[in-house]
Amino acid sequence: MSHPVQPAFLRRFPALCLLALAFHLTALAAPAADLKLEAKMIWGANNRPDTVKYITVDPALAATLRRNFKWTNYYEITNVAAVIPLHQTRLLRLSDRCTVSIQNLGPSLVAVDCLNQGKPISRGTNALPCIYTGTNLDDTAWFIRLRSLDGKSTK
Amino acid sequence: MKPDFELKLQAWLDGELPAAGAEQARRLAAADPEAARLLAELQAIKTAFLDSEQTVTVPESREFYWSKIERQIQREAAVHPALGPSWAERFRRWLAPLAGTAALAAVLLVALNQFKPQQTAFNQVSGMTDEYNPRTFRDNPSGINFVVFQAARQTSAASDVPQPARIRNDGSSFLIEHE
Repeated sequence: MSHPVQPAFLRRFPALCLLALAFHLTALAAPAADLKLEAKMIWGANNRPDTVKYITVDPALAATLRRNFKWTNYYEITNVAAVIPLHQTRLLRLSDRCTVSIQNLGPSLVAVDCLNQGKPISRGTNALPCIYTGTNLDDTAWFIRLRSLDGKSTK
Repeated sequence: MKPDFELKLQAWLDGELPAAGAEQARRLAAADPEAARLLAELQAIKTAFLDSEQTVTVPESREFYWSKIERQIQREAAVHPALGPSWAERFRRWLAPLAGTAALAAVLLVALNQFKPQQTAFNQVSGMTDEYNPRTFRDNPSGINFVVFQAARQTSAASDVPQPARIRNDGSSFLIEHE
């Protein structure tokens, strides 16, 4: 039995479809990969930058914080990065008083325990990016910005 | 000469006319020189065909001759059975519907992925001590989830610091309003 001759791309179409499916399944499986997390401690104050020894945060983040909070300037105090395997937990020390415990729950989802001088003060589950914040006694504020560095949530 | 008469002459030559018609055709051909010439030409063509046809005789009877041919065909069919499609051809036949199914599954997976509940709004925090009351909100323009710790008890030194009176989230942004 003879069959009509098909163009080359039509003959290869089934294989291309299978290849595309394989890529897609791989992409679906990708969220099970490690979480590259960045934890940044930020200080919010009205102090002018030339009087502060810290560098200011990037303008987009500063604009977001300025939109929501009253402080005019936001300075980066600590920047810590960690790779957290799925369902595992890492402790990130951001200052003498502040440590966060981060558990990778899956795609851009983390369980966060905040510890103040080793004492847990909160427990929660957050989608990344997220920012924890509180006020200091001197009318300034602290912020902890958590974000994934895998390129999916870079805010 | 009329075409009808030409056909009649040809039929007479082939012996297809009845006796009356044949007699009439013979008389007309004898009377008409043009008809006589056509008749001679047709006669010559017929003779030429008959002379050039070769007759072949076979030694066997008709039935035996054809049965020999039939047996030969059956023998060759047994030696060379009909070849089916090649392995590659059969593989391609299976692969085409499989690829279609795979493409459909890929589209469904993409669609399901699109309609999967977004986790970006997930933001739940509870306090572990009486000192802090965590409150959450989402800044929609930036897509960032916020957790705000508010001191439940203020020290005397901090009592002068304006504390948020209420949190308002109008869907587009979040404001801490001070008293």
